[in-house]
Amino acid sequence: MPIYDQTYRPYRGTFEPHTMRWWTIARAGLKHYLSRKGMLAFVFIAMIPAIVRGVLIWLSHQGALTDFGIIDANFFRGYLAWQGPFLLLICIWPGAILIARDLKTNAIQLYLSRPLTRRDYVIGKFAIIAGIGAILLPAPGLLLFLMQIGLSDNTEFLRDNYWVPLSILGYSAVVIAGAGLLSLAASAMTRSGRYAGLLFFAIVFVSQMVGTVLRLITGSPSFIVLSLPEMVNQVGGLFFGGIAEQVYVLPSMTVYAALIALSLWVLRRRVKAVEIVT
Amino acid sequence: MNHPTAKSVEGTMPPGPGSSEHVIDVEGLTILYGGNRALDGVTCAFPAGAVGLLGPNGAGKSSLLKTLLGFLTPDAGTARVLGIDVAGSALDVRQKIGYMPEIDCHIPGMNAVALVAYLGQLCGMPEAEAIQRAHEALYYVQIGDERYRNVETYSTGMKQRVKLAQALVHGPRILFLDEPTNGLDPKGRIEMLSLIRDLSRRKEVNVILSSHLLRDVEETCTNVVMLSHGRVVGQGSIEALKGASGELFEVRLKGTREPFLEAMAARGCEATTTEDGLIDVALRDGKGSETIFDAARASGVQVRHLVRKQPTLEDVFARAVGEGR
Repeated sequence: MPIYDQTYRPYRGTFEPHTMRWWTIARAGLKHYLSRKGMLAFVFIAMIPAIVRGVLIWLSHQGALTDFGIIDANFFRGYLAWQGPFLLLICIWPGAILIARDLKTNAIQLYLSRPLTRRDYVIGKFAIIAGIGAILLPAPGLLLFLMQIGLSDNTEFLRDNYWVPLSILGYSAVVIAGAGLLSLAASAMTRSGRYAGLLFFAIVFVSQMVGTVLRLITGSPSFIVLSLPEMVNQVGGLFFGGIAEQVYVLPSMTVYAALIALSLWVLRRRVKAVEIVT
Repeated sequence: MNHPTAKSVEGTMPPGPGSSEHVIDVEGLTILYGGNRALDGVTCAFPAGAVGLLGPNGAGKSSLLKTLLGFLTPDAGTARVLGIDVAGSALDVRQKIGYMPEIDCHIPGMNAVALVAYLGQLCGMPEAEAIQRAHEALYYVQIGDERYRNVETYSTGMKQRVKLAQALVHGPRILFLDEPTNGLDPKGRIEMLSLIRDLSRRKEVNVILSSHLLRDVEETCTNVVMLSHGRVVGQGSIEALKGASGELFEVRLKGTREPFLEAMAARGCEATTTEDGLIDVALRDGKGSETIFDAARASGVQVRHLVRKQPTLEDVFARAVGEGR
């Protein structure tokens, strides 16, 4: 049958199960954004730190960098921390526009009139940020780890650092979850992607400024729980351990969890098929 | 059958709620928006075919559709679509229905093929089939080569067609159309109504057409459910409802109208003045035109013009809404 048959006929085909509907949203979003030249250029730039670290690993095994120091868990933690700003940029674009644009064009009603729950919708949108985030954080981190193992003459490195891949994954998951959900919550607060991006930027950077200023004025390091990047640093340290400055882990974890809960609450309130005005 | 406090107009009624001949059964449905009752104990049944959901703005049409889609949770009552309880299995219901929203909506950055295919995939269709069906649906709604253009650049009429195509792509058994002719020019309106007729009469798609435009409903539907102030004020087949209106006459008088209207009311007949100064008289229970002359004589006015009128859906609707208040 030609595809341009000009009539309507009932659909006799099959439907895939509901469980993976969110993946349709995620796949379409990832395909859309990763096919854009701007995004590809950005991903390439974001890969430069990984490439540099890869070269350093290679050179250290060639004996060319005797002063480079040892490659240990902190090497990988440093890499992940370095990638943080790239993740924040992803949260601003496309993260902050993902729901705002749907609100602007009333697309949410189209989504939710399908056999799709609000949870599927949010998971699908989050998976777009998480997918791009995974390309920036854990994927290169794990490749660097494999490269280090591959170039090692013995199993000493693997024996001492076998837990690092899990730490890379755990740290990445926590950072991406917090930043991604916060970005989606900002996106759901407004119909303008631009304002949503500014809101996310303000939350991240203003919180850091306020936290830093209060810490300097009062001399109390407890104010680091007001700074999102510092919080991530504290929580992230849990996965790599042995960091002396991890003194506010529990308060940071609490505030960070509260931030995630708040983001989920905002998403629950804002992602609806029907806006009821009473 | 309707809410006990609402008077209603009923034609030859379809079987009662719960009947297997109905595609939708609603019983005692109540939706509250804060203190407002958007739906107030609505009980109605939608038979197979095309059914018009009529009512003035704010009558509760959209609220009823959104409840049937599972967007709103009923405060009381039940709704079953194709025998499936909406409150318990909204996803199963939405798998079987297509929804064309009233508001302008699209997914940004997509052309019509990509949009319709994407929404087909969200129903669970495999990608290749969704794309093929998207082409077919868009051709069916007469979006030809324009289907490769970004939907954001479309005219209102084209956007309406795309909304219809996206509602059809997964082959729904019921189509909910919320004001489908909104913003269409006369030609576009005729074409849209023609598509709706074709779908319900030749393509085995049950259509629920929500509209405040009585002509649209009269041209496409065989049955109606009429809402006013969140209550059902009439339901049944259009022909039967028209028949139940009794004999209608258009009357022009010489003299004061009020005594005549009172005299007609005293005789158990309904008489209403129209915008153009005429009086519409509905005679029931076998009463003939002599009742009009009798009332005129009694009220001291002369009948200058008397024409038998063919009842329209508008007459039925006006009477139902008037009584439902």
